[in-house]
Amino acid sequence: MKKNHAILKVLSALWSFKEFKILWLSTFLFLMAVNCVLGGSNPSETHEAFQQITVTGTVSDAQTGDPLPGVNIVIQGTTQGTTTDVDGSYSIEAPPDATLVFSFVGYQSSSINVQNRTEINVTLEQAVTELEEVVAVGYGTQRKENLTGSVSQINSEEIEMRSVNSATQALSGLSPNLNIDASVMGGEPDAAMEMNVRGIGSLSGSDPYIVIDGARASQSELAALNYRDIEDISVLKDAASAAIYGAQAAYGVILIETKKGRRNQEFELNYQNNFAFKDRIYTPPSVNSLKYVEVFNDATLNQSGQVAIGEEQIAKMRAYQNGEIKDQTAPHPDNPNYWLGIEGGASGGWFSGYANNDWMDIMYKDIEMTQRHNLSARGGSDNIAYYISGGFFQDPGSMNYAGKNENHEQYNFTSNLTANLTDWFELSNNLRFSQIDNRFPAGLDGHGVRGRFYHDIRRWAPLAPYKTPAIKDGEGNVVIPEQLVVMPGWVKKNGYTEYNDRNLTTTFAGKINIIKEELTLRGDFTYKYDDYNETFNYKKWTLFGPDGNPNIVNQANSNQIRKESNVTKYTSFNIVLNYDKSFADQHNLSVLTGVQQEEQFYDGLTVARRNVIAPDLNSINVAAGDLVGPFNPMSSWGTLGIFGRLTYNFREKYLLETNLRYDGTSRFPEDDRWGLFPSVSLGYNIHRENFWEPLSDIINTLKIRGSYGKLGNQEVASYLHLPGLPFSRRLNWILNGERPDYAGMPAIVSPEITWENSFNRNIGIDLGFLNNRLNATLDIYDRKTENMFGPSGALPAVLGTNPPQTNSASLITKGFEIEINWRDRVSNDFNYNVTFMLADNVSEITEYLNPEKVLSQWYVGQTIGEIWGWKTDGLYQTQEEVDSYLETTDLSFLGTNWRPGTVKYLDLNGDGVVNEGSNTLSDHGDKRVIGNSQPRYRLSIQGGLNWKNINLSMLWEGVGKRDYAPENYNTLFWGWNRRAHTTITEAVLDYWSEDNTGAYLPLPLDDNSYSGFAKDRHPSTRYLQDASYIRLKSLNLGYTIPASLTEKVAIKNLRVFFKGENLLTFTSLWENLDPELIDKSAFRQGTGRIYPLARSFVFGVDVTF
Amino acid sequence: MMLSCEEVLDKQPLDEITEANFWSTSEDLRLYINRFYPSIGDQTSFEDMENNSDNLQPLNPNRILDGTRSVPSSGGGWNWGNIREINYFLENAEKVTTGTQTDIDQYIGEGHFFRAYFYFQMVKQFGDVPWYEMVLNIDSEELYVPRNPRNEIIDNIIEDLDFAIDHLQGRSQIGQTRVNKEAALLFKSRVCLYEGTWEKYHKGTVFGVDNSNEQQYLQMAADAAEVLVNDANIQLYSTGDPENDYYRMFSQEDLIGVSEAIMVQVVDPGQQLGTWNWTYLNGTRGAQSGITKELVDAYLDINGLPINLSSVYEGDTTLEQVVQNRDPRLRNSIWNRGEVQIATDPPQRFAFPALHKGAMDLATTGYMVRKGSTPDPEQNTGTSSDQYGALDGYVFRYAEALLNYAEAKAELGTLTQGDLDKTVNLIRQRVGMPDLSLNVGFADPNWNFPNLSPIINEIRRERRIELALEGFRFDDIMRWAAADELIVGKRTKGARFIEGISFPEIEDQISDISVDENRYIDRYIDRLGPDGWGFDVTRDYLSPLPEEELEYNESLTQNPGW
Repeated sequence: MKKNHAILKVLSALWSFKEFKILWLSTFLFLMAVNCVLGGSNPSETHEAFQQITVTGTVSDAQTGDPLPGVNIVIQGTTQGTTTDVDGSYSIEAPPDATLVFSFVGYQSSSINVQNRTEINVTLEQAVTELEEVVAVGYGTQRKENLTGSVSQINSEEIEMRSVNSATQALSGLSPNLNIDASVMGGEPDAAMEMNVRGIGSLSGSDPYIVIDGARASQSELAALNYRDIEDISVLKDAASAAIYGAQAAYGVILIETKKGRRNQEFELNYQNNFAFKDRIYTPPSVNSLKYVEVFNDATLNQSGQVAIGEEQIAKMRAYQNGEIKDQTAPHPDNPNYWLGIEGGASGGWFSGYANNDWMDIMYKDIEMTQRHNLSARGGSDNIAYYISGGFFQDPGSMNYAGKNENHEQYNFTSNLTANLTDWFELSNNLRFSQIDNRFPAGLDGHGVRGRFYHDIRRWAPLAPYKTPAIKDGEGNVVIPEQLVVMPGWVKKNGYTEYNDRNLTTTFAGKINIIKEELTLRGDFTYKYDDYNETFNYKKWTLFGPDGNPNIVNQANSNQIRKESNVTKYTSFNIVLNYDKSFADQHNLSVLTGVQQEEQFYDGLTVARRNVIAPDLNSINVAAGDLVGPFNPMSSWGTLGIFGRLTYNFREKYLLETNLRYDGTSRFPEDDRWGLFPSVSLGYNIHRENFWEPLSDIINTLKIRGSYGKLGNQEVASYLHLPGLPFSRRLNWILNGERPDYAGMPAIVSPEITWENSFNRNIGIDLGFLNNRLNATLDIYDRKTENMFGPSGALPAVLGTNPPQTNSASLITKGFEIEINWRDRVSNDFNYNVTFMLADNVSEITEYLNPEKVLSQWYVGQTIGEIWGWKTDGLYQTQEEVDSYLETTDLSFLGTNWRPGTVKYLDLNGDGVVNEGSNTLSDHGDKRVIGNSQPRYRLSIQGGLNWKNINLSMLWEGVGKRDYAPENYNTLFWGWNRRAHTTITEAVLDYWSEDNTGAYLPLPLDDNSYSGFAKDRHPSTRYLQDASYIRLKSLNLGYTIPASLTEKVAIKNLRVFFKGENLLTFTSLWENLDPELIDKSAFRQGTGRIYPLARSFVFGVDVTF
Repeated sequence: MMLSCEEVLDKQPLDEITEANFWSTSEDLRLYINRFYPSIGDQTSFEDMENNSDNLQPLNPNRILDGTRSVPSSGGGWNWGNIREINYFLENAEKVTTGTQTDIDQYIGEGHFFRAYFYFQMVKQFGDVPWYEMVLNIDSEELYVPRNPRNEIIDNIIEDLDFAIDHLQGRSQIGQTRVNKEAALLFKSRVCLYEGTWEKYHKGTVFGVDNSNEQQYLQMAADAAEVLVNDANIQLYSTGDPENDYYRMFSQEDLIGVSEAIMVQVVDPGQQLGTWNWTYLNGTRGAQSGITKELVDAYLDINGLPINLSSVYEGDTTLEQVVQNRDPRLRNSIWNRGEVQIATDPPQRFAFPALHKGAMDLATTGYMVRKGSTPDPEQNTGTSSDQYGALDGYVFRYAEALLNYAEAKAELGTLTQGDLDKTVNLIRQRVGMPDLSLNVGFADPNWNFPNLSPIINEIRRERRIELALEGFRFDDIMRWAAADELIVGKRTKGARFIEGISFPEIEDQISDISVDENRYIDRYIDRLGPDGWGFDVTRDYLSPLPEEELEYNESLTQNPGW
């Protein structure tokens, strides 16, 4: 659709937005603001503001007490100000209720209300430089300078600059080797992401351990977190930093702290909103139907010598496009109750159609609007600190015609309270509630999986109609109005799948200072309740034929109402004792010891009933057909851990840390359930040595650190070691008149099943130059995973069952991370920063039971992601070329029917046969490793600048090296596929024909076999794609309204901003393919089985009262 | 306090029964043993049960008969899942003490029956196999034992069956859907007859058995069958309508109560467990198969004489002629012009075979299977995925017992006219065929086994006719070592195709069909060529063990010739 059209749609979307939610909310807020102004100040006080008093005092360094000369002092909201003299003294005329802002380079600025005082002495804290930052680590914090492990940090500003649907998405690109990629859900409103820390850890999955405010969280809980609530994040990458979590943290830890109030902090109310206008990227339009038929006929002509679609029908298509035929379909000549081009569905009914529809355009909106609102309050008194926030997010999805069948809403409520009951006892409570309500349209039978549905949108031929004409009676009255058919009809009428995920997590914690600042005891208890309900409302609807009679009953997935309820309850408690002490000002010691216990129960209930009688209702009571279920899966697990940490440094020069954790899990048999996980790490702050003094002006920080440790992974099914008898209903045999229940045999139990272990080594260096304006961190690591679950080796078939998986495989992952950061403050009005991150990892199988090294399985020495394929020498151009090549070369392994326009595969080993030998590593014929599908050299660049009231930041993300071999079924690449699976876009028209011998793509053929087109689509060097890319993920431009204007309406801070997501992409990948969505395992993108990603333009305001 | 919490680590499955709380009552035995019933196989698909023999001709020649199998790397029928699962049952069944002894005996009896059933399948396919009575684990030494000689396995099977016969309830108590004493007896006679004739006819070949004891097995076959032959409570099905009874007995919606049905497979579309055999059996589609000319020619004329000795044989130029004056079982088994396919009003009648249809629906020979069909319109509707078919199937049928008895006695040389009269001749009387006498009374120049006695030839003929398409023929050819007479170098043929006479309705569409010099449909000339089936009598009577198994277990040996 045209661009100007899109703008119209934006406007209409704005105005017609459902239930005027925004208007309502913003009106409410405005009234509240007005209230504040009117109630909070009265006119007489405003008059008093004209009185002036003289305020004097001194400004000094908070640590040293030294007076600070040259400090800027400004009356907030004005341009009036002064500076301190050489003694740090100042004097200023100000209204008695004014706020004075003290600022000085290298120090944190401070705002102080005069409150009728005439003398105000101020101390300023030095601004925290990189190394002085405090970093959250497991069960505590650590000064960054004294860290010995590999920990990287993400702060709230970095996260808040994004405008994405989930907190997980907001983390991508912010920490090197915290890899967050699109999952098979692509750009769906509720899309989950794939994430790992430092690459593949295990063949059975390598999810990082996520901890939010001290409690374990699942990936979906992270996704459901309101990312405005995040204060900061630590990513613990190596064993030394993760070892305190032992068997839970084999593949990295993501520690998230939400925002808290601070004691004696002024009350602050913040409201922020976000309106994003999205369109979907990488949705290339289909060619015109006449062009489509041309390709179609070329392929059938090449295959069988006959064209599939004849002149008569082509003439009809022309007539339709000329406007001579108005309707998209007409009665079928052979059956007056059928419509042309509809019956027969995806398997080819549309052969008889004549319409000209671009299904991507029909089915995806040109623009969709999402909205996000967030309200938070923060503050504290002497004894109490609080943070309370509420958030709302809505994304109506991108599917046209879906109406209420597609929608995504998220509600969040967070409350963090801390109370200092006495000077030795602190009590706190964190509470997080999230609710996600998500709906997406149901497909037809067999289209229940979302991907299949998107696939149909992508592959449907332009010939097929999407609506019927109105049916009229003899007098020309409309009996049945226009009917939507196929996809629009399905999306609109088939019903929906909905889930509602409600999660409540609350932690109560108490902290006792036994010896102040030396010995503390902390205990906490977490309770989590997750209620995940799913409703499948699959409706039945009727299409009326041209004669007005019902013709097809469409029904989504057997027409049923299905309800699923899943309750997960989790409890955990920790008791931790912490001792900190410095001896003789040079031995700094910290000892921590604790226990943790966790327990989780899951209880699910599913029941369904077919044959829905009242499709508008959503209760099983209104279905009359067979009952499916009920099914009631239940499970539970528990863990117990004892852990300790000893940190010691000598004058902050020589650093040592050791961790030990002893973990038990219910998932392994009694004798194998306990594991010991130690780690040790060392660091050396060279810049603290005296001999470094001469260099310290240039290189002010130099630290070398190294670590080694062992971690475990207990993430296997709950009861692998306990033989259970599966129980089934309705045997396929009738005994005494009925199909009875029956029991099955327990699966074989591996006698020695136990932990997967990962051994991690890490060497890192931290550098700071030019007074820490330039910082660099480099880490090199390897991680060896042993005892991975793998096959238990070949056993005689007389065993009578599949051998169980055992701890028989190993792999090693090696990689590095570099982070370079430049930040500079040119003046008080201008500062900027740039961060460059580069990360890499490669995994190799080091142990696997595949003695023959058959290439179709994992084998020792295999680099994960390697692509085996064939070398090629272009396309055959003449029959003589084919014939002479075939005389010397046997190509029968790869296919038959070689002819001009097909791919010429090379006989690399010169044996006259192109084949894969025995498909083993030692005998692989002419097959070679031609590339690797794993993303390498992931990079990101963040830049930001602040100039007066304007701030600008951006995030670029990319992959430096990646190969992609298009699969046979990738129609976005190859275009032509077997009849009903074809997608013809502009990009795929460059195929070989006698008139286009220099084409890139081979001759189209109408047969998916090795005599048809499949033979040209073996993975080959000719079609190997360079999938590296760099993308402007996010751009953020903000303007802060001058305080002088906003203060008058009691607004502390008002910022308006524009954000953009996915604005630009640079890649040499095939133009139809989104480099973020290449996912070979699920053959998603190539056949359009994925929801495209969105580009967004976002507007919003951020206001603090 | 903390360490006392270690019990959080003791978690039991919450939605699955564990071994620890199963195996206590007879109900547990029943729940577990039920799972084996479907392994008995589908007893309702007459359209393809003998595609591996000279009775039915599939589109592509059977690879065993053609000798074109190769040694598989894995699989190839060397499947031990059922035996593992039944041994698990037998190992644990002893723990059960709660429940009536009758119930416990019944289910444990079923357990022994099923183990015998599964082992018999292994012996038929591989000959010698290892014997297991326990559940193996991945570290069991028994994974690596050599094969036991086949007769040892057969003895173990007989032991299991004797246990079953002693413990199972009779059909009148337990019913026809569960394994019962009569079924076990019939199965025992089948196993013993198989082993007896195998040892006898493969004697002196690579398939011969050391310490062969065929007489003993034949006697046991006769003895087991005799119990049933003499059982007054079991009769052949008959309504006194010899022209149609044979057809009718296979188109019963409900076999419960039919005396001939010793054990049945019940189907019930109302419980989502119907069949869809009607799609092939009602004569409209061909299932890529068809009855062979060889089987058709084996039917006697109504006067009890073979077709080439009979004066009333009308020839086979048309389908009508073929069934004229023949054993009524022929008319009951193949589709002929005018027969009612679907009893709608007016009825849909059979006009010509699906010789002209596309590959999926082709009838290969022109003789389409009618046995097992139903004209009931209720069952001839919907699409192929709807399981509307409601005809029950015979798992064990009394006629087999009669035939096993007659054959065993004949092989033993102890057959009497009295034996014939209470077995073969009862079967013949049902369809109005003349009795068979001990001296036969004619010499058929086309006897399959000219070296064997006339009575054995005729008993084998009777077995072929009566049990046609019920899945016996392949086993019979193997145990009789009859491939040299019936298979090697031969091709099955179809109906006669004389232009202008045989199938005028579809002639224009089948004019290029291959026929032999006598104009019998000869599709295999295209597939097999003039040399016919390539069955290798020094190799193909047994299947090869998969290659990988010989590597994993070095004490396994390969079967002869492979």
